[in-house]
Amino acid sequence: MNIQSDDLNKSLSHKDSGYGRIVFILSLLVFAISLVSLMIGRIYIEPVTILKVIVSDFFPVSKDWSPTIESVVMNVRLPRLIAGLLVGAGLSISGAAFQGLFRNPLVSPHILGVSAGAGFGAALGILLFNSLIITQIFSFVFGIIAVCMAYMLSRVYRTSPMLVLVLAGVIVGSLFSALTSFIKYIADPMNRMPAIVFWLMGSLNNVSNKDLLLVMPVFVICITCLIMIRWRINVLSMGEDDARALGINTEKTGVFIIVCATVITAASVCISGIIGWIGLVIPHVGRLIVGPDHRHLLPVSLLIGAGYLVVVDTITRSLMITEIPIGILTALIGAPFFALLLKKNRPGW
Amino acid sequence: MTERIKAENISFRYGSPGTPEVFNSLSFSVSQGELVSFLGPNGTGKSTLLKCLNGILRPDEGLVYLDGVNLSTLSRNDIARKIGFVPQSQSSTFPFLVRDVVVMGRTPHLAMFSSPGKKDRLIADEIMELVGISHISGKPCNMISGGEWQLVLIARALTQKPEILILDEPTSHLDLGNQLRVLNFVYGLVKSGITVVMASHFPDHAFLGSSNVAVLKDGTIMAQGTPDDVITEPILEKTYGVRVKVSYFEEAGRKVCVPVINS
Repeated sequence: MNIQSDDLNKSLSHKDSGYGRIVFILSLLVFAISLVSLMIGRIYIEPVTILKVIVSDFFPVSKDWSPTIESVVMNVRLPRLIAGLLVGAGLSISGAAFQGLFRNPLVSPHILGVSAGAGFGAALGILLFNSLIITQIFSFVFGIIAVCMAYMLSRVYRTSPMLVLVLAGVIVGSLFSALTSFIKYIADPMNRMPAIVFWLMGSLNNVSNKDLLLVMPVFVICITCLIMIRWRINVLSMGEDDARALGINTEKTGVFIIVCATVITAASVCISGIIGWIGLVIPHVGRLIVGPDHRHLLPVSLLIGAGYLVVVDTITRSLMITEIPIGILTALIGAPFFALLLKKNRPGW
Repeated sequence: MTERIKAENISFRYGSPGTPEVFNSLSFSVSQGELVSFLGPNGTGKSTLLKCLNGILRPDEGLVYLDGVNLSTLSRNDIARKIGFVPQSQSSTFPFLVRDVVVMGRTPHLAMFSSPGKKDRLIADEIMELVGISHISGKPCNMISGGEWQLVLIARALTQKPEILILDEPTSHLDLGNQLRVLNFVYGLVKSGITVVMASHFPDHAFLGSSNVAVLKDGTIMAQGTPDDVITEPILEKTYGVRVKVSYFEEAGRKVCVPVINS
């Protein structure tokens, strides 16, 4: 018996160090991807130059590069990279948290109608004002409104509120999708309708440094909150009754997680349009690597999501002369990749 | 004996007022060190009643007291530190490892934003040893048998370090041997001072060590008392709608209930 428990301890610590190593490797990978993404584009920039340009903001470095290069790195590629990292990380961690909370590996952060609402807000903003900042504000606000509506709708029922919440989200989502279609239908087909359609397909093209200063704190705070509550997601995923019996206030904890994931998703949609697929699939990739324990799954999903979106975004802007909408590519690359991963034998989700 | 749980005229219905009640105006109490069994046919609300006792569900009328305090004024954490709950076994959506499921019992002892630490893992290890599931602690919980899963759920509840344990049909999916093993384990817990409330399908089991038996039927407590008083042929026949023979079985050293099949 002693020998057995010794073996057990060994395997336990082995597993934990395995997790540490995975996080370390993924972090390195994300850093490498980021650097490559800064190098590639219409003009190629040496990695050393890139690092020097970025560092020169904080330390005095002799400037041996042209102002064009500085502008390309600091005003075009870096904000876009940061946005890609934030949106990828945010959508993936929200997806992982939602899949645990709703005990359903098929939900994505869009399930409560946030994206449909945000898409409608953006379409409305483009239709009425055609200004980027108003479009972004509208999209964020309507994303939040949609989830509030779904939440209030689900309160009507007394038992199993989580299941009803998903259903309410689907209802609210299709309501807003219909409204978005209506706006597309009445919008000017030469200018505004294509603008709406392209916006909805998703792109990191419009992100500016100013936008980032506004949304970055939002992302950082909500992602930190989800990371901190991740143990309780394990308990919540055992079911509401079990979680309550184990001392969790399921209602408050559920609302906390929903608020964090919703704000992240709304903020993502408002700077990058609707990028589907990532929030659904990246958590599965994470589970294949570290298993279902949300203590490990959330940080790992965050890293994979951040790296994946930057890779896809770099491809969208460098593969062809005109940019391919990122929402199309995340699915085109992700779907076959995921189909391959699923082939691997494993115990459940 | 001190009263641990007391229910006063509790009624419960699923859904809006006006729909039929699951049970109506039930009153009873559970004292320290007792083993109380609830018997009754399927669908009489045994599970619902147990969930009301630890506040997972709130009765529509009446109050439940835990150590003299109104249950609805206590936080989930306060309740979970005193009452462990073993639900009717439902498999987990995600294939957590057995030790990760058991350590979930530490949740009521952890702060909102913390994860179980080394101390919590040691407590979980200790309980797994006690329950006899150490050898499967590294297995995904969807790759173990139904009996093992039941033991995992019991271990998880014990990891809460509860003073009261509520078990909802702990033997319902188990084979003959596992049923007896689980029940024996529960009686061991009672001997060590834990108060146990249990729902069961099998009237037989109540003879195995219950100090008190209540029979739930059509939303009311039909009979209540010691096993010898309650588990009688007329009461069982009324409860289950079939003829049941209750007689002392020499070799087993206790009374047994045998349904009689009539033509």
